[in-house]
Amino acid sequence: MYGDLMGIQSDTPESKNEQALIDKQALRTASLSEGSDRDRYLESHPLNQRPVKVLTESIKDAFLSVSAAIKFKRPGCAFSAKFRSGKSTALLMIKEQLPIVIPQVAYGLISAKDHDTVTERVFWGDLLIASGLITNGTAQDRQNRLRAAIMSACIQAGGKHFCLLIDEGQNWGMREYTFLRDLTNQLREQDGYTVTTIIFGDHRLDELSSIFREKRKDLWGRFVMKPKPFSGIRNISDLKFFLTEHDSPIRCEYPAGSGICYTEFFLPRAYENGWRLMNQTQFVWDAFTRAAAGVNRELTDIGMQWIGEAVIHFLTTQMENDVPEFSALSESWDEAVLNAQFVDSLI
Amino acid sequence: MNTGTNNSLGELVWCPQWNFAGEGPYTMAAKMLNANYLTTRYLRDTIRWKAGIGASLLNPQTNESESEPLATFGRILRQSSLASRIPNLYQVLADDRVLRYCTKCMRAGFQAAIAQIPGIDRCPIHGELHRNTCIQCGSKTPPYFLEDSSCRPGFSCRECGTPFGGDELIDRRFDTWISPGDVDRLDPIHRWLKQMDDSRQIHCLNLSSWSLTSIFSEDADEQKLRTIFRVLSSQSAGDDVPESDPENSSNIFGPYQLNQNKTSQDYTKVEYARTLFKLIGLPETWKYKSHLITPSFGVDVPTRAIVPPELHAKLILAAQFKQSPYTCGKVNYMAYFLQDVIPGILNTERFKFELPIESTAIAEGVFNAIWCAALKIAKIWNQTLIETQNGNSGQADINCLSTVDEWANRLGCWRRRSYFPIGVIKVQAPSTEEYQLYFVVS
Repeated sequence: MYGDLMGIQSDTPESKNEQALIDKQALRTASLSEGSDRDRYLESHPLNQRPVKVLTESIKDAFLSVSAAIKFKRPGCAFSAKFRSGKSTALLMIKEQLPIVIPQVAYGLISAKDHDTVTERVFWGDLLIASGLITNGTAQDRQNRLRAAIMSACIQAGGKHFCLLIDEGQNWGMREYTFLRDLTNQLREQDGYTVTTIIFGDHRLDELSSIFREKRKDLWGRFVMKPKPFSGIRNISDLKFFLTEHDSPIRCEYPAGSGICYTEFFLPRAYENGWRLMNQTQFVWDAFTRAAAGVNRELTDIGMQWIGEAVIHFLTTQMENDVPEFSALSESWDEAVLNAQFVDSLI
Repeated sequence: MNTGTNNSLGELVWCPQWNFAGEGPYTMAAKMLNANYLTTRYLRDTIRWKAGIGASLLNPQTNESESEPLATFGRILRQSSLASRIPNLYQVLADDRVLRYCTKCMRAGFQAAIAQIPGIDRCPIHGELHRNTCIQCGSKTPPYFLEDSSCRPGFSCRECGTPFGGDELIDRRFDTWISPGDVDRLDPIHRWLKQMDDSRQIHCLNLSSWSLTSIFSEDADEQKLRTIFRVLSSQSAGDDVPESDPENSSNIFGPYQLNQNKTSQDYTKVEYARTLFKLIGLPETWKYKSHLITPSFGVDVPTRAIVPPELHAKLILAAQFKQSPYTCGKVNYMAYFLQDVIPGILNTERFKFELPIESTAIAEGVFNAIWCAALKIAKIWNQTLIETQNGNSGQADINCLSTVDEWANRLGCWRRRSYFPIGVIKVQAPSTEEYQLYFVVS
């Protein structure tokens, strides 16, 4: 009490909470009030960066499948993704989330590269480059270094399990997957480490799976058995889930610690008055349906590129209309869908 | 493949868990090179390299111009070295000819930097002996060097492949590179070494293979390091000071205060006479006359082990004074003895003692050391005779004068042969600028 009287800040939990509240309020004011601070925050807003990482039902499902594969120490699982469905972003998000949920496993993410002819040295070199490691030495040296990197990552995670996430898995053929199989065998048999391989690829991964099923059952069973479909927005329920994410600061908070969700950041007055992006689900779906119908196509699946761009365009263009009584027009969504060039993808 | 792990060495495979407090650069380099499947030459641009030799791990010096991540690794090696921990003393305490290790530490892929100090005979963590040979085949361990060859530092014997840790090969078993145990036990020794490094200056004279009492010993350098360590240990008391193995030790006489500002203490007549008699009085040799020969250097040498080493030692001792102009009856002034005779014995053509050896205590120290050296030489010679007579030695017949000639430096007048079996260690505490002298017989 005397400290307060004398202007000295005390360190009690109550005073810390009070200070945190003051800081949060200051951050909110700076972010939501017109001015240079807001302009700066707007420029670096996650929705204005690439890739945009917002959770979808598909990513959630894939995450659960991947988590199960890891928990049960399965050799792996594969996902066959549709065109521009956001698989690379999904992989990034899954890779970021996995260490939080299953921390004792180490994770690595690579993008498979296609070569006309691939030697073992080139293959391991690609992986080392992707790992940010030096590529000195023979093929054997390179393979051993990669093996050491995997073990080192496991040691740091405190376990003996490594999960390798592979993007563009369709780019590898029998030879590459055989190299990878040998490495995982070596890690298991000689070193006692388990490797789970998660492969994301486009529709060609299904073809690869068929070929392996015919000719290389060992590779098929280990890497690409029955690829699960990975989509963008499949239905109105998926869309609602995706839009709802924008309305919650749990995973879509910006600036960090402000408690401001993406929707509130762009339309603070409307948000304060109860307006939510989630409630636009039908309008958005209808706008995409109309656009597809315009080129005589039926709406089955919306790639994340287009849905994401449409949402960003909508929020950005509606900023100037932000009032407590804000109400979105369906034309605004049509314009947003048009701007996202969704129709071009259908032709 | 972005693993998202905390890899402090960027493009090199590295794990922060592979680096422990007190760990020396040998195992650090071994871990980095083995984990990355690189040869030692990869570090040539990072560590200052001597062509054809490599780089000593006692003092790995970095090339600042090198780019990352090697520059960082070079700094890590440097920081873990003894030169970084005790920049003034590492050269007079530590050895880089062979790797010294504790088997239990090596089992965890760990070697403490201080293990390279021969005076620290036991691992402070486990109490195990620090070894410098393979536990299986007895071969010497590899040099404590980054060698200029395709070899890389490892955790097993280069001759027979036996792991230094005894159990399993760990060169590629990265998950066995763990903490060796309570590394905090190294702290007291680190503190003591640091304190010594900060507060002592050491000057050594005549500590080499040339000055050893035996011609067979190959460990003159190690003896020297051990002796200096013992001298430093004797200068401090407490639990922080590690004990060294007395079996491997030299005889040390001292300390003697060496304050140049003080006037010298004079011998009394009685003391003087006693000392001279003890040193120069010739022993009764008639009893063993048939077992003595007089080689070209003019000092009787026993040819049979029956001659007591003490008697032989007296012959050797007397030989040192025979050549002096100040023999027993000719010295008129006691001061001459101290100012001329002793320095006359000490100063050979090979080296000069520039020490004011004037005080009684110091002169006594020199006498005792000389006697100790003569006795040691006599005992070793006696042992040689026993072995020869038993037919256990491959040496030539002891009667052969060539064998005696081989020992001529030690058995004759040392000064004439530029040989002297007494080393001198001078320790200065910079804070007080006071010197202390130690005489060493190895």
